Amino acid sequence: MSLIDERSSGAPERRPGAPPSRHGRPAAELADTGGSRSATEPNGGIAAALLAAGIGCAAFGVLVVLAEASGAVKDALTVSEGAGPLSGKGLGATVLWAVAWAVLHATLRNRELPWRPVARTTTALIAVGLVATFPPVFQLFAH
Amino acid sequence: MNLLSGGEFFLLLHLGLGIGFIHGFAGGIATLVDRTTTRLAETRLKARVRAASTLLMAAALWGAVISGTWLVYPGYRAEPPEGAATAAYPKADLLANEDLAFWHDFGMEWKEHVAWLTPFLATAVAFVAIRYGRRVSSDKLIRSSLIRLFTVAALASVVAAGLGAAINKVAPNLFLDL
Repeated sequence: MSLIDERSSGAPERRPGAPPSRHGRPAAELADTGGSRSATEPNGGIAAALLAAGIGCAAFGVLVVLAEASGAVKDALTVSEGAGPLSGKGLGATVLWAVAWAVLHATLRNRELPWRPVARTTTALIAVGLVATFPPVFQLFAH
Repeated sequence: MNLLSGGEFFLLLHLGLGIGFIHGFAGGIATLVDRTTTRLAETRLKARVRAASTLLMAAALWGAVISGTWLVYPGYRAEPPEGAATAAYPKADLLANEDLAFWHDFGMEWKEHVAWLTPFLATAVAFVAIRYGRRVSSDKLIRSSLIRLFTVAALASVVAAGLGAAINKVAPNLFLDL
């Protein structure tokens, strides 16, 4: 089962009984609130945020496996002696997440994307993070 | 008079963030799932609650992983001095007992790692709820995606918190004797 609904998200849902506006969207939608932006704002910025979250999860999972597989990587990730390699895993994944988000947001924010590839990619990235942080899995790579 | 040591205060802070997490998740998931409101004023209120709740949960999760990693975890994994008793050193004490080693090898290892996934997911949901609130209100599929991310973040947090509570019960923890 996918974590993300994969159906196309091309158009906002239309409420039952809501008349279409002259812009082809339900009038109720245009009256809807919750954000300060235009109702027609593309979904690229949303896709960027979700994909970046997936990248952060996957990056953390990869760092966990690498630290388990290599003593050199584990040492390199020991940013704080007290917290050990967990400090570097967290910092590294956070930096990768932030950079990925900034790049994706700048690239996608003005685009309307089909939701299926976004959903599938995000789901796969989150799954990598969840699987790679499960001890019986990453401990398979213990050096 | 010192009521709490530094380690005890950090643990209390770490645990206290759970209150923010619970309230943030409750408000966030309720306003993401509920689509019964049609009145404009109620929708506005709901969107504000959704934005505030998801932001609260994201902040609580960042606070939890940061305080957990840099303030609480060092006390857990500290090495006892040569020949010293392990009673005040949870990790060493667990690993010294074959029957309890599972709580570190599986429990703590899973807790410390799965928890780090949650702020990425919750922050994405909070950002979208705040920045793209109108689209969230009107687009069922995007709302559905956010619900799933938010739920995965919450479930992973529950795993981490539950294991933390169990480990605090199994491992020696002077804090619990207060």
